[in-house]
Amino acid sequence: MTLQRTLRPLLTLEGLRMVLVLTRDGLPIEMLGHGLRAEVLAAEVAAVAEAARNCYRTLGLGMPRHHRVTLEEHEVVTVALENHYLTLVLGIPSSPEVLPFLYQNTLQPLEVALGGRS
Amino acid sequence: MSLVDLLNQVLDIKGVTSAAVVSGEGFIVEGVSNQGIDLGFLGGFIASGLASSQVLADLLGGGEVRQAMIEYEGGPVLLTPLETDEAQYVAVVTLDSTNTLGRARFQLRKLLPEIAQVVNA
Repeated sequence: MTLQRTLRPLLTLEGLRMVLVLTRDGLPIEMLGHGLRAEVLAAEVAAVAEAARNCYRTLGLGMPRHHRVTLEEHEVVTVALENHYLTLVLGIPSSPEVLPFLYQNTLQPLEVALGGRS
Repeated sequence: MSLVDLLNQVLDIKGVTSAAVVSGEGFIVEGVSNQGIDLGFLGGFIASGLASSQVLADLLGGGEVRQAMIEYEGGPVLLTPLETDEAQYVAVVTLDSTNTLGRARFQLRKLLPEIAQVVNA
């Protein structure tokens, strides 16, 4: 299954503006939606995610699963995959169903499409 | 009421395991914990994570960062920039589970303005 096809169901999520798949070091590899610079968004999302990862050892709470940055008009939700990150940009207020939808419908096929764990 | 008193009130919220106020540069102003959590980790995240979050905000044209939440395997961490006059300060709260996140957020909304007021004083 192609990445595009795997991500397309996310477009049904209310308030969704953009979907981005990026490598752990901040390179965008797939994007749905437009109006934002994928390279810049990917680099900054990776920086936030890396900071969260760097904290985990000291914190003793295990690895980060996802993080959510709430802005005045947007919410940026990033989920850690095996070797990539999946980022969603949503309008405010975002649906509480976003994360359950991701975990139930998207993450496993996305990992397969990316060549990671199945 | 002192900052420690207010942070202890945060710690009394069901599910909260530690609470701290950290400067924008990553220095811990004050912190309390009931599970021996090492709050020293916060500096690195505040300095780099919130700076990148602010760049995200600029990129999206969405104004200031209201809150950041990281969910770890062992529970979530909430980071909320405080409304202070000059320097940037962030309230950091760790929780034992996402089950208590909603209640904690609700109760924090009442305490954070008081914490900001004490930090400003």
